[in-house]
Amino acid sequence: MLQASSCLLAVRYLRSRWVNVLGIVGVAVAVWAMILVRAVFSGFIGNIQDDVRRTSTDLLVTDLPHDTGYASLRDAIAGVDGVAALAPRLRHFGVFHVLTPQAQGGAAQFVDFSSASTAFVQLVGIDPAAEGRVSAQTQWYQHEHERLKPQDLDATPADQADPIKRLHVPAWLEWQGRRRAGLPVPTQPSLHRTLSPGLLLSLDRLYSHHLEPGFPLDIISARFDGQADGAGKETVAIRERFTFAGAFKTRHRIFDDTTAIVPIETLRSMLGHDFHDDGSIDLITDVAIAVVAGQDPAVVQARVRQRVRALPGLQQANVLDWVQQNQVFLDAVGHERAMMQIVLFVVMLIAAFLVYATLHMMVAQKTKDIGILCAIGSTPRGIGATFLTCGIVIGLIGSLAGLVLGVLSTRWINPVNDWLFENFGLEMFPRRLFDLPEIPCRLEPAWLIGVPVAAFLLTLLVAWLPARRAARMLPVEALSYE
Amino acid sequence: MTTPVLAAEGLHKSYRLGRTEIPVLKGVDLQVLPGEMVALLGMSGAGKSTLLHLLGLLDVPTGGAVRYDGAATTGLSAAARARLRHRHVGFVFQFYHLIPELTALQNVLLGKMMHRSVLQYLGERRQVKQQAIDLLTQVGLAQRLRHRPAELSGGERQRVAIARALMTAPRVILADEPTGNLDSATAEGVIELLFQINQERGIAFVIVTHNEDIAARCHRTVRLRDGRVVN
Repeated sequence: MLQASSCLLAVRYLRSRWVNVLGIVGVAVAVWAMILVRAVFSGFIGNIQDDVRRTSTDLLVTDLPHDTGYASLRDAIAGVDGVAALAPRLRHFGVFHVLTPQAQGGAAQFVDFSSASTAFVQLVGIDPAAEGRVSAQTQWYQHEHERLKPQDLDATPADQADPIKRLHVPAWLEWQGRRRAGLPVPTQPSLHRTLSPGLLLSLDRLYSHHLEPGFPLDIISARFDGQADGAGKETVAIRERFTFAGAFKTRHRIFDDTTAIVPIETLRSMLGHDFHDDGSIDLITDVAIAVVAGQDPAVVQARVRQRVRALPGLQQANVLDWVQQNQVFLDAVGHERAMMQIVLFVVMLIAAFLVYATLHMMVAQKTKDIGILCAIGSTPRGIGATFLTCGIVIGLIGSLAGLVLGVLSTRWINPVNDWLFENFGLEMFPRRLFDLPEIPCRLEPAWLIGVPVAAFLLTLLVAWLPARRAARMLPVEALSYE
Repeated sequence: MTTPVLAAEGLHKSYRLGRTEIPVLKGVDLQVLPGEMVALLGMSGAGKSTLLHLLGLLDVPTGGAVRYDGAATTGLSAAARARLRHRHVGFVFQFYHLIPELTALQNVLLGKMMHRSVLQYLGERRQVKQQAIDLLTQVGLAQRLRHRPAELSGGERQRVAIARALMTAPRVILADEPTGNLDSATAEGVIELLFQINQERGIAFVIVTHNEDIAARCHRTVRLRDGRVVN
């Protein structure tokens, strides 16, 4: 039961001491920051998860031994209940080198790894037709209105027998690119026949390397040659010429910055398994799987894992869902958010300390009043309630103000960011850095309720300490306080 | 035989200063009858204020007992003593002791707002407020209701303190040198007011004073010397 006298005194004390506004502002700022930053982080993480999900298949069979062929795995997995489609993938690593007119002539074979025309790349060999059924790959491709179109990817290939052609660029486009790069070409485009397999790079790489469709570029890598048992193995350098066929943009920055998509048969050929050669195998490093809509991916994952591990030599193979495929990255982003929350919690602790300090000071300054209240007949509980009410008012106003400001800020953050950029060239969330068209915001109801309530309870806790001190004062000592 | 509204029986009070125990009151006996005005005289350090604090239950005696209407107050909790003090005793201090943030009216209302919830008080607000206005009018401050203590003279502040003490209709008012901080003309007015209240309301007074004239006007004088009553 809150005494009327406690209520009146609390209001009068708060109104007469502007230092208490500091406490209210502190709590409001802490709540506001926690709501706004969490909303931005949640929006950002949500975007990242969407982007990561876009580049990942439902399931991925990986950790396969070297020299694993696709056929036996395909036959084993295709019959698993819940598997809608599957596609082979072959991963390898290398450096790509953009051929420029300056790089031709006598120094054509020389690659300067320190120059801007070379970059590390993870080669992902795909079967375009099969890949389209297991991933959202076709959605990444930058189409004509966005400047580029991966050639022939969406069309049914005319020559099913030669899958290498499925990423080829048209002869006239390659002719143009080779001529601009200073490579030998026939006098007329019509006399030219496509020479190199196509390669896709991210849109960012297209801009940073000034690439044009049809432009030639080399992939430099290495492979091991020799017997399967390891006897006589030696490292063989590989240099394969490709034609830049088009660009993609998934928004998953790490994927975009490192990946080059090539025809799987070309990559197999580079690694010594040309499908025309005797003894070659349909080499893969992973199998991408799409799960039937409505099926529980975890259940299908278990079935596939059981089926794969039953195959000879594949006991160590792994089957990962999309989160597991990106576990390290997602954990890192989640960790960033947790760290930010710790920082914001410290801000809230500082605000709480501010409230404690102002109320502690108030109790010290009001010691005489405490003695007077005792003389009039106030109980220790009534005296404590006076100062606790001050804390309640500070916590309530601060929490509510922070909540309102937080919600309004998430609503107006993009217009404000635009205004700052247009008028002062400032950006709270640089687009160039985060590659996002606008600041993402996602309000979470639990957080929206939890933060103000926690701030209020924390304020109550820190207000209780000076209130208890006031309640425990001896009347005579309080009255004689100077 | 009339039961005293306030009685002290063998009151002892000592304070500890390091390892030394300093006795202030050494067995004080005192009875205050209903409507009686008692003057408490003594030199500085005789223990007058200490006795007043013990009588008002603001402090706990080292020995002996304080009785209100014959009932012992020994062993009561701080909250119980506060409630008893609220019902039974009013205080008037030398330095007024008003809450500076509150107006004269609010200072007087404060006593009635204690031990009442906000809702209870709101239900009785009109009646309680009128009572406070009547009291302030009676002490001559009808025009000063909305003034804060800083805007009042010393005499006016003491009148507000008297009105505040009367607000809870106490059986006894303990006044600790009520005129000690006032000029003689103002002090005379305040003393007149106290005697008037005593006559009109029958409230008992214990007035600590150095002024023999005031003491002479009281029904009885009690002298303290070295912690003991000497007459």
